[in-house]
Amino acid sequence: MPRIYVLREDALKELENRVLIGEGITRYLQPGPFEFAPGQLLEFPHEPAHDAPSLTMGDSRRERASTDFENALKIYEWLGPLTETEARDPRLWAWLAHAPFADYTRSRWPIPTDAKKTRESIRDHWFVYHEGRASLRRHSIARLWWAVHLTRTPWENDDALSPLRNEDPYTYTRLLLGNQEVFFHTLEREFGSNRRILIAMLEVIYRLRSRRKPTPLVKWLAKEVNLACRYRELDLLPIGELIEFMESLAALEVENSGGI
Amino acid sequence: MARSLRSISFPHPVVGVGDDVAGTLNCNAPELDFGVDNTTLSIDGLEVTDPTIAVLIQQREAAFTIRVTCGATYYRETFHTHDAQLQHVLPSAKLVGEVKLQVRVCTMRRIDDYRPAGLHPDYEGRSFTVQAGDVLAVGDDFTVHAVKQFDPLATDIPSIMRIVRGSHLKGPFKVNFFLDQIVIALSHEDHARYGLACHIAPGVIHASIVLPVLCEAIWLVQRGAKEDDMLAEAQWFRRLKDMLETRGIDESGSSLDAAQKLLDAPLTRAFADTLKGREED
Repeated sequence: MPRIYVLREDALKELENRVLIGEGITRYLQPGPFEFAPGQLLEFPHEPAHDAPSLTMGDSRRERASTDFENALKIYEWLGPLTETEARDPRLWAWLAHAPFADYTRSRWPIPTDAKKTRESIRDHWFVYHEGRASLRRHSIARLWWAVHLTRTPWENDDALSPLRNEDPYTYTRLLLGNQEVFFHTLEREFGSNRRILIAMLEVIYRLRSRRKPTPLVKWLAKEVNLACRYRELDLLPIGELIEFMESLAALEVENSGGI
Repeated sequence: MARSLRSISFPHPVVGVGDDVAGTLNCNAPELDFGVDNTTLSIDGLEVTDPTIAVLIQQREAAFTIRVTCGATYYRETFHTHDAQLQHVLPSAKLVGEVKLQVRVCTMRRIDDYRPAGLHPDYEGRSFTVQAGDVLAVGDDFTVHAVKQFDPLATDIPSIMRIVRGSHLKGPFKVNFFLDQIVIALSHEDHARYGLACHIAPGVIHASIVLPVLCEAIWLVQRGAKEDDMLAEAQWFRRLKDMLETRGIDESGSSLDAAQKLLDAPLTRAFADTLKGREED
């Protein structure tokens, strides 16, 4: 029976400290999963139906990023829905990055040669190292699970989003992971934690996809929406009005960039 | 609970920001009561001193809003009320670590010719158009750390157990000890009656469900967690151990005795609930 484990608290601390002081870095450069003694692990209560999925890896940076959506679905299907508290557990994500998905993590986030950057890269992509949302967004596996969790069939969690219901449960996951800038600019900012605002922004990017490239549009929208959230509770708007508001901001981006 | 104030620029005059509009938005510090499954957010004493805004709230054209943000779990939601207090229940799983609460008054619809009573004289003769959701008054920001701490003195058995509807239609209840709380899964048939039974005869629930499960849980604590399983770090395990120690209950004694002490004579209460009304006859 396949099992999922979490690292024990002391094993996690030891692993983090070794990276911090620059010890054991070479192990991160070698292929294969890290090996842990049984005493360093605890069994996670959820039992997966099958062994850990094999994740797709690409050679170039673009190819690697283009596999995110496909890999995210595999990870979510394997781990299943977790509570937010469970999905916040750094012990879980550390084990996943170091054991079943060590080769994937190395391939997706190649470790830089510069010593300082090496430590930062390992800390960012192999550990969930602090409480903020950025650490989940950067972790090699957590980011994939959370991307699906935040965007899969959002109309099932919030009746206000029912006008956006469609046959593809992953419409917004595809948009979120389809472009690294969209992923970064939405989930890096606080408004990305509000499901309604996040989905509305992705919907606007989707509606304008044939006329506007996602990268400059999401940069503009994220900046403007972030500003608007300071003087306005966008959460109070019906979804139609919220989308209209964001479309009006998008129109300003067109003007600002000299487009039509 | 830490309070903080932020300096923000607004496109229209706002109470609580500089001297654009005289007045304040006041409230008592919000409280978050962390339960096993749900957390209750309570805030009272909501009051805005500007009479124009107070009337807008009375007329439901504006509302007090509380924005709750937890960065650790990608959670942000805004609740609103037209009254001086607000209570809202949200899933505890959404709150981990630092939780920010921001108190504001916002409009519920577009208002043309908005001109608050306390507007600074520099704005003489001017009025403003505000959109739905625009902030009219800024109150304090609060920060709470969501550590779902357990008070062993409270001997709060519900904090270590929860009763849910299982996947089986009929038959005996099942227990999972390998989560942070002990999860008792009732059959669909039993769960349908559980809600009412819990209300009219809670002692019966304690005697028939909680007591046997607690006995087994205490036995597991007495046995000691094996090094290779989740029990050692399960929250309920440590909490129950604390409860037994705090109450001075001998861990090596009978688990049945210990469970009855922790539940405060469940059989006596079950009899009292069952015979309520009949003995008086």
